[in-house]
Amino acid sequence: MWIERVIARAFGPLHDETLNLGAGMNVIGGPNEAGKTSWHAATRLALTGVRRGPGRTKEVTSVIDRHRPWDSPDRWEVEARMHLQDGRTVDISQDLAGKVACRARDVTLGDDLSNEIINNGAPDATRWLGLDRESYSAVAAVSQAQIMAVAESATGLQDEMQRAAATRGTDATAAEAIERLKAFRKEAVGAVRVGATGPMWAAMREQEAADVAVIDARRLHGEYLDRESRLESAAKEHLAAERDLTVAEAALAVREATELSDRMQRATELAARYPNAPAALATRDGLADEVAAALDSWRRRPASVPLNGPSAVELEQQLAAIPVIPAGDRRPDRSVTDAARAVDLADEALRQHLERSPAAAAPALTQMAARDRSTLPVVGAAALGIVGLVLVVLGQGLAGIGLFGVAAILGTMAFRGRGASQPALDERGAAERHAHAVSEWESEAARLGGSAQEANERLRAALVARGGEVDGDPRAALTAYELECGGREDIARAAAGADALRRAVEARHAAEDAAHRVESAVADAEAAVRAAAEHTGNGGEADYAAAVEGLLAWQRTRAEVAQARETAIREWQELQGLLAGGSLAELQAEADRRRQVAARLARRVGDDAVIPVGVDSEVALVTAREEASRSKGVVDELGGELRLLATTLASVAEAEERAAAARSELGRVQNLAAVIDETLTLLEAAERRVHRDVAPILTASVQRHLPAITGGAYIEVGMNPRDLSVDVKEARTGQWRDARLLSEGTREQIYLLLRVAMAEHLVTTDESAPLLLDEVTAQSDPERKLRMLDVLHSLSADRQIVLFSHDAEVMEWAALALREPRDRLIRLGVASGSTEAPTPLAEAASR
Amino acid sequence: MRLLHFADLHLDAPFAWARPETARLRRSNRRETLTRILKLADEERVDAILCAGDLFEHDRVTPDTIAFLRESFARTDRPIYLAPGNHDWYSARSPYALEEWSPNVQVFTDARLTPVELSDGLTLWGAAHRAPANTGPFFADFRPDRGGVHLAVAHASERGALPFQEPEKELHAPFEAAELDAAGIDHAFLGHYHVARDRDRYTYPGNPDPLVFGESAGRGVVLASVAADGAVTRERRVVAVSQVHEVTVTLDGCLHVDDLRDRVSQAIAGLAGSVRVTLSGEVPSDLPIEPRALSALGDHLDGLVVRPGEIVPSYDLDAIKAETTVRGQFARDALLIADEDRQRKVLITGLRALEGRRDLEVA
Repeated sequence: MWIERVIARAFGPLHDETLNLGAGMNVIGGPNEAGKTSWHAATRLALTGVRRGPGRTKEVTSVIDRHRPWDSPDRWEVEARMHLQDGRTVDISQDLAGKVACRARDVTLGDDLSNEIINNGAPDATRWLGLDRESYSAVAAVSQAQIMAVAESATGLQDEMQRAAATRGTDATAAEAIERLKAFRKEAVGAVRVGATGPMWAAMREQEAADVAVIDARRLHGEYLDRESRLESAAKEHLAAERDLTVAEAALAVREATELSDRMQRATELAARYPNAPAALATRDGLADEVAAALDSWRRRPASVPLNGPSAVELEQQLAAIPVIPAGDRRPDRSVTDAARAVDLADEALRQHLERSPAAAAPALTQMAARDRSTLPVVGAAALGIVGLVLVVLGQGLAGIGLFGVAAILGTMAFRGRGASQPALDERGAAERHAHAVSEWESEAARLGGSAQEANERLRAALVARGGEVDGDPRAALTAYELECGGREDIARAAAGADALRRAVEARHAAEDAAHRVESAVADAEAAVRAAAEHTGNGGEADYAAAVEGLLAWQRTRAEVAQARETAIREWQELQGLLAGGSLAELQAEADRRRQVAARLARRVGDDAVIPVGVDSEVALVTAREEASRSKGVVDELGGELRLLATTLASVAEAEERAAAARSELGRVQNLAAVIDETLTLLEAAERRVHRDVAPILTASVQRHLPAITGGAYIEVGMNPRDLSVDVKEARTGQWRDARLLSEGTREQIYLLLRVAMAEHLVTTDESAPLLLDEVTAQSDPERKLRMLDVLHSLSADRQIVLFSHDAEVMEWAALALREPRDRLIRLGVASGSTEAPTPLAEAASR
Repeated sequence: MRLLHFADLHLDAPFAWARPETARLRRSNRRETLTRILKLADEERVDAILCAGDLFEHDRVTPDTIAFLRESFARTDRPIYLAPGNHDWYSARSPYALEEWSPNVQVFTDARLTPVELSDGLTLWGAAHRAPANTGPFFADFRPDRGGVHLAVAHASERGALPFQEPEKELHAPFEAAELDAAGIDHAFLGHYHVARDRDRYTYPGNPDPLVFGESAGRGVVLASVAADGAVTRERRVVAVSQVHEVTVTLDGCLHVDDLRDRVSQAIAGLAGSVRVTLSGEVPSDLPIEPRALSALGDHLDGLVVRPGEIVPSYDLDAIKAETTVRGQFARDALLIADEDRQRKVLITGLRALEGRRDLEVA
């Protein structure tokens, strides 16, 4: 595509003026205010038009503001004729004010081609390039400001490339878009972790809470139904309990009615029996008391006791006749008896000693003496001894001892006479020994005789001490003493009967007194009976027994009367109790009422109800009341709980709606997250792929002109596919340098080449995009400027280049370098007055 | 014999789409609808009121709703026969069992048809769902044990009518229309299908108050006159309290948000009740469409739901995908996404991001 001419019907200061262009390189020059910028804008807008409605970029708005006709704002028109690669020649008219009379027309065929390139309400010739008015402006229309931006910013070059690669320079770079999406995801979705505050986490929490709320609401709803069911059961139980209570009440009423009926019957009987109150019982009955006392004294009277034996007087006379007990021992005193026994023992010892005389103890000697002499003297001695001993034993100690001594001497002499005989001296020895024994026997006999004497003396003393008289033999005194004692004993025994007699006298006196009292009591009883009998009208009885019988009969009669009166009083009181202060009629009415109550209660519990009888109605009623009260308590409690639960019962529907809203919100956020994530994935992949594709293309394109445009300073260019950063190889050192670190001029040169390459790359049709360059060499030094112009001129072989410049050096270069008809040099002049008008075109060839 | 037949009131059913206050209002409308039904019954002096199930939703019904029902039914002397459905199934824990209903209310509690003598020679047979699902047929093996005219009230699904119902509808207590003839039922007054349907031997009155957007017309209650020979003549009455509107707003030509708001406002200006607006048409690519923000335009309505429909942003996708740019590559890749809605959203999101826009959530 190339533009043959642009006609500014009304554009800024331009009116019906035409700019004719060549298919190659066109340089439009002139001083400031010559209209270069107006023609640059008119050319671009003639191609692209402006979009209708909102959505214009700031840049377009700025252009509109600047280039609307100053004197006729409502007429703003520009036209252009262009040639397409397919051979068509097209006239395009842009009504920039009304945006109505916009069209594209095939010059040859006259066809309206507007619809072929319509873009937001206006024909856009850049659509034949595969671009649109925005992207064309961004890529193919290079302004001084863009050049300056690249020059002034180290990253401007890379940004421009990224932007062009992403959106043909119209909008954000892919990296910016990705970052924006990530930022938006962070804001609109957020993290999913504990403590996060983003919408996703909040939505998840809300859904969890809402789901829990639904579960709770359903659970509570179920609990409510359960409680309601329990309440229903409890109510039925209570109903049954109430029925049981009514049955119990009915049973009690039946019983009470029956009791009242019985009471009525009894009261009727008593009332008939006692129309009036019976007389009251006397509090005291003196006659009855007298009779009772008389009978009591009669029954208590003692029985008479007969008295036998001597009288008390007679006994007292007998007592007076008893002797006095004599003084002295009434039996031998112990001292006497002991002393007498000692005498006996001493005498016995002597006697026994005498019996053991040596003559008796030596029979051989006796026989020997007999042979020599006669044995007659010995036998006589022995016989004397024995007699003396007997005397001693008999208490005739002294006589006995004397006799015994004589016998002993006689015996000794007889024995010695026999000893003087021989023959046997040996027998003399035995005789001597026998003599010795006799001697010893005699000594002992003397000792024993002394002892016997002493014993007699002590006996004597004892008798004297006890009042005895001892003139001679103590033994005789002892006998007298003993006889005296016996006599006193006998007298004492006779005196001992006085005590018993004395007690008999006392007893007799007591018996005689008791008998007297009995007689007195009997007399009193008889007197009482007699008096009572007289008082009761029975005084004529002959004896007391009959009188007593009469009193008893009187008493029985009297008791029967009292009993009858007491019964009457008790039954009267019973009647009063039955009537309880009312009348018989009232009692009858109460009985009837109870029967009615019983009947009504029975009807309440139903015809099939069985009213129990014979049970403890009170207990049954209490039990039934307790059960009814308990069951009512349960009903009230459950009812209260149910009402409370009902007031706090969450709406299941509302909980479900909240859950649905939560699910919807979570779904929205999840869907948004998924959309963003997928968008990011696709964008990042697209960025990587496009950068990978565009980098070698741009590199190759720039490579062709880099040595020329840099004057051989840089001979190679490289582009990183990841971020489209540019490196160039320095010819002098062979080092690769980051384009961001190059001088501003060099960056301008490389940028211009990249823009041309990008424009070539972004055009998606067979057309080539005309490049509209505005003061792109302004920042270059003369040497760079010329190299740049040469490169542009070289590039114009493949595409139309329209360069607007105020630079005289550019004009000079154009005058020398450009060749018609393909190239054009157009000089603009300043018109007089307030408007700027192009001067007549000056042909380079004419120079 | 004149009867009023209704079903599927679904008291206390949720409205997932609605704001809490709108949902509460809609539930309140259901109650008011019942009030209208009972008032209509009095005005028309019907002999009995038949409810063929789904009067309320067992899992959601509130004590307040039950109290409302109890008092509403007690205010009329007309006999009311309730045949529990799959949403208000009968059980020991059901309000039907637990509440003390007025004497004029009779609830069918058996899962088989049981009789009520409406008049001499006219028997009403009713049955109950006793579980939320798996209720078997009522009519298949049923034979009346007496003569005369036989009517039925039940929550049951005639198989042949299912295709005419909402897509998600399921069969409960299913039966074939011919079974009614075989069973000797002169006419069955049914519930469960929300789309109204009148046939010779059965009637579905439809839900009397709208439940969802886009419901067909003709739903309400049926006033039925039963002749001595069992012939039934029907008259339909609309008793709905809720107004529900489905509106499509074409956005072609809208250039900015004000255009969009004006277009939606004009579309709902004369409406009342609940409105669902579906947006469609070609819009500028940079026109932000935020349904939630647009919902605020329905302040005069019970509820307004705005949802995006076939909205086509005016991107020149052919040109874009022809680009050798990242945008072109992205567009080409995005257009390969199979799911159309996802494709649209990803594409627009990416293009907006590349345009430098911040409205990156696509409705």
